[in-house]
Amino acid sequence: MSMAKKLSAIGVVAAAVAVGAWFTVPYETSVVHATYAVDLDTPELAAGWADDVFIAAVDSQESAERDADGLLYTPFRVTVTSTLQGKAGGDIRVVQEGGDDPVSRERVVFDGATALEPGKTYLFATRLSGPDGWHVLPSNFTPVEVPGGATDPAVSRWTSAVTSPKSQDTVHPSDVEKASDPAALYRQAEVG
Amino acid sequence: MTFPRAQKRIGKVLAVLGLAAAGIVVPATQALAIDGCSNEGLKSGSVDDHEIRYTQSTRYSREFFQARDQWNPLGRVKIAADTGSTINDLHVSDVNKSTVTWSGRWEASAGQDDIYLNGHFLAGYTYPEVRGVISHELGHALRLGHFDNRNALMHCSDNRNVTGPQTADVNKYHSIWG
Repeated sequence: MSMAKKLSAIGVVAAAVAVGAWFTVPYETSVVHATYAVDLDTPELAAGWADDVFIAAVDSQESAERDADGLLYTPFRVTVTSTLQGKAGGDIRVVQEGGDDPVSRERVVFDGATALEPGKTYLFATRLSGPDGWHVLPSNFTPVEVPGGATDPAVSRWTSAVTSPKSQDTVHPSDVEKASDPAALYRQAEVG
Repeated sequence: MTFPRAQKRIGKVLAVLGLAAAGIVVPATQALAIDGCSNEGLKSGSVDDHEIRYTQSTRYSREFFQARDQWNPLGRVKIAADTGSTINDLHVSDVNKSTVTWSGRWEASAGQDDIYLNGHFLAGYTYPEVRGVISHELGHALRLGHFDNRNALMHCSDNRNVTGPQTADVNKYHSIWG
């Protein structure tokens, strides 16, 4: 092997080691401090903001992704088992704000947010982002764990809330409400 | 003279790489935050050697300048535009998102920190209300956490009653910066 080839080979190996080493770098935690315009503290308030209120089982967590603005989200694949409000159904992606960016080694954490756990069933209140292909669970909404699914005692309060949602001055129409063809947005967010 | 925080972080990453290459396991940094409108302690901020150097690309620049000028008279930290001879600490930019519930957010990250302003909400706010959101985010850049007090600028929700630093905010500022 010529010296040039040896040097090239050494260079490739060194680059591979460097890339591999980068992915062992611990995440640097960044805590996001958000100022909230919308209050989601009660089922009525959350239903007044959300496109969809539904019960779903979390199947798996995916790698975090950034949207067109560079904001980081953690997607979860979920299976909807019951829809109380809106059109969410089947296998869809729900995202939480923040997450671990494997490339930049940033861990973006929202103060007070509760992380979803695969294998558990939750009640969600979300808005749909069709172009991103996901339903957004906002960082100030605490997912309600409902092990019993639609028959869980916690669900009855929500069943009532979706029939009498509470509006807030700061709640503006969602993309779904403004869309000429909302079904098309839902189709964009279907898995598969 | 500002010691660049970015350089410190790069140094830290290089050190970690070295340790990783040597097979030494370094634990990840733990989350620092506590919940919502509770009274929070000191936070990491965007201040470098008593300065915040910023760049901005926001349609709310007039409100941003006024918010900056609410904090600067307190005298301990200078909030000023980045120049060719300084290191940028903070960038202010806009998003327009109907799928999230925040009007503004401050976020530390490697290199420069960020303030994002959400036009989905701010478009419907009055001038003083927009300034209040920006001033609140600058408060985080100054290491102030949230207060459980609607009469403080650092209350965590936009339904606070004020649009500029109040006594509680100023006292916390001075407790941090002297």
